[in-house]
Amino acid sequence: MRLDYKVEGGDFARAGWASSQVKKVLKQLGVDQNIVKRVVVALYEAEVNIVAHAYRGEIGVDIDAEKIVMRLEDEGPGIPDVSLAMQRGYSTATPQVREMGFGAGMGLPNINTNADIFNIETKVGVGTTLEIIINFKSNQ
Amino acid sequence: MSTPQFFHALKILEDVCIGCSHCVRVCPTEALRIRDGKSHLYPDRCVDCGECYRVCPVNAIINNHDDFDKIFRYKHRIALVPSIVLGQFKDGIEPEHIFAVLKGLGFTDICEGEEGAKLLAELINQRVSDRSVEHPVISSFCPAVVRLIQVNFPGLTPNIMPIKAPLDFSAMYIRQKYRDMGIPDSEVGIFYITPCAAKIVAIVSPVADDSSGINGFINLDFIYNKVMKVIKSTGGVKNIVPDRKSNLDGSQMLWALTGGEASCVKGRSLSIDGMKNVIDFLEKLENEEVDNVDFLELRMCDQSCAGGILAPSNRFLVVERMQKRALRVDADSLTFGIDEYREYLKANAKTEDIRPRTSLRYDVDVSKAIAKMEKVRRLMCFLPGIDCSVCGAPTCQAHAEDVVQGRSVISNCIFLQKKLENQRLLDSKHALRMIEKIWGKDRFDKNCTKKGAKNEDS
Amino acid sequence: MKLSEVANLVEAEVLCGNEKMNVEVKQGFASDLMSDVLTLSTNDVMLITGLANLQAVRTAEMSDIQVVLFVRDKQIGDDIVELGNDLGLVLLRTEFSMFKTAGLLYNAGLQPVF
Repeated sequence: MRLDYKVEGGDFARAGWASSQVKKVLKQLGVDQNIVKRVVVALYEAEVNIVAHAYRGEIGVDIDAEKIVMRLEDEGPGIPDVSLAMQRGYSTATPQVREMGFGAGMGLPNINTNADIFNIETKVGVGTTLEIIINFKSNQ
Repeated sequence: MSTPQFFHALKILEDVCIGCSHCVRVCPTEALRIRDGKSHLYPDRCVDCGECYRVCPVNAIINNHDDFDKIFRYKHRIALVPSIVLGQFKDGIEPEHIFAVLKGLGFTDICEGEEGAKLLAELINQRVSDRSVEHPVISSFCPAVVRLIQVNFPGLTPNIMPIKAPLDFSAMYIRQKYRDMGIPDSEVGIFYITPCAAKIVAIVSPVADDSSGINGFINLDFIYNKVMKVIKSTGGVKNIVPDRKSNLDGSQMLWALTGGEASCVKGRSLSIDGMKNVIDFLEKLENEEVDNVDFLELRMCDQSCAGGILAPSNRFLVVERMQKRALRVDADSLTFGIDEYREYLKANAKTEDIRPRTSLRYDVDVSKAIAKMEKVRRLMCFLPGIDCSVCGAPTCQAHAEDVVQGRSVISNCIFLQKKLENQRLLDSKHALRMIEKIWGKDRFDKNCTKKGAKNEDS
Repeated sequence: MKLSEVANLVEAEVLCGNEKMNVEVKQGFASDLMSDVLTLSTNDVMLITGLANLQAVRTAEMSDIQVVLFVRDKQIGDDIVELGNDLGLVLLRTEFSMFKTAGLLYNAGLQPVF
């Protein structure tokens, strides 16, 4: 099953919409609650990253009986140093973003903790693509 | 007591039901449909909240209770009376009068439903301070809320405290007391006077598989009428020899009202009553938008049990009356017989862990569920999204799910029928037959005895 | 049975959906009255019909039927095939009559809906 969402950069009011919709679907499918939590946390962090840092982005979610594959592609500044970005607490959020309660620097690390497979492709000045895969029958 | 898995006390009287669909549209779990002109229940979705009972314009939904004469099968007949019963009666008609009348009607002893609330408060506080369990701790007091969570919010079932209700504590206490007096169980009949359908279902088929030793239940409105009749016929309470006074302190008396549990909890607790409010809050909780709350007291009815479906008196007047009475309690006059049974009650306080109820919205098998959900999404392309209920289902979404589960056909939707008739794909006569199959053959007949019609009530 | 088997048995031409010939169908429903099709409550049905117009395809779409077999040697217009393609359906066409088609498929194991 395929679900698609568009995300606008700077639209904090709607941040979290995609993760909320995906959560509803997984709940109705009867996926284990712990797995759902992991999906929602990972997707939410990734979605907020687009809102906080990029101009716009698209989220494509593919669900099958074994796993959920989430692909988030954005047009934005890109990530100059990925290993730096993956450090807990490191954040490039603007003061306005921090004022809204975001930008704690835990986004990418949180995604990594919850995902079974996590890939980042990025190009400075163009944008970033995240691929997050979580298995439904996981041992994590 | 062995009962079918989805026992429900609420029953639809087919002869009385006029198939108006008001109940179909208020059900929080979309458990009702119209078929053959009558309301029809999917038992695995019903949470016994009684909203259908409230809105039925012809009283076609009843709460099945035990025949009052059943109490006479027992030598010792105990009325298990929650304080909400006492709150129904006007000032002047005090608990001691009501107890006296109940005895006059045939009961041999009275036990108040909230005597165990003090102990329960202790156990709740113990759980709340145990940070290793899921927080916020959700009260299991309202069985309709427990069932709602099992059906619609299965991820929150670990938060529900697996403990019995005050009425169970009282029942266990009084039963053990009689055992200690040497009286065999078979001679003791405990009958609970219930303010709603949910409490009955909790007794008969408890969430967990424990027997609470209650032998039957009698509807509150029935008892109220019986008691008032006696009082009127004797010319008022001045002619009634009063029984013992109520043995509850203020906080026990108010336990079943909004805030009654929350006020006894040490920590940050919230009281939320009313079905819509409870549902909204549970959704927030599920989205993890609620932080740092220790305890949640959730009640399906507005004003909690004062708003129970079988409570005849106005809920706000009842609350006011009970709050005033709670302030007037003479603490010195209270006795604490139940305290001798503390250890016994503590040992039997727990129920089994509360599990999600697989309501099978789509399928137990995830890949089948995905296929079904995709089919529902395809079908929703055709449905108007108006939720008019002419198809017999409460919403277009519910109708699409029914089609996918083989319980209905997509063309039961009247909008689709009109479009298909226009495209000459559906014969008008056929369309009419389809409506008749849902709403009943006589639906198109002129009938002046209908509600609101010329000869209504004749 | 597989759609490739169906096509073989009734010597059918595949109008669209060639890539789905391995798909299995369990049941068949033969009718020229679309209103009867629309009141059918089931999955996994192959529609067998002589109604060679867009409405048959639209009916299949609404009833969530994935396979339509046109009988009686009807000419199927390009617009119908295009719609079938857009909707991802399998459209087949046979020269045989409906009776012969239904008989052959029933004998080979295709189940009736009722």
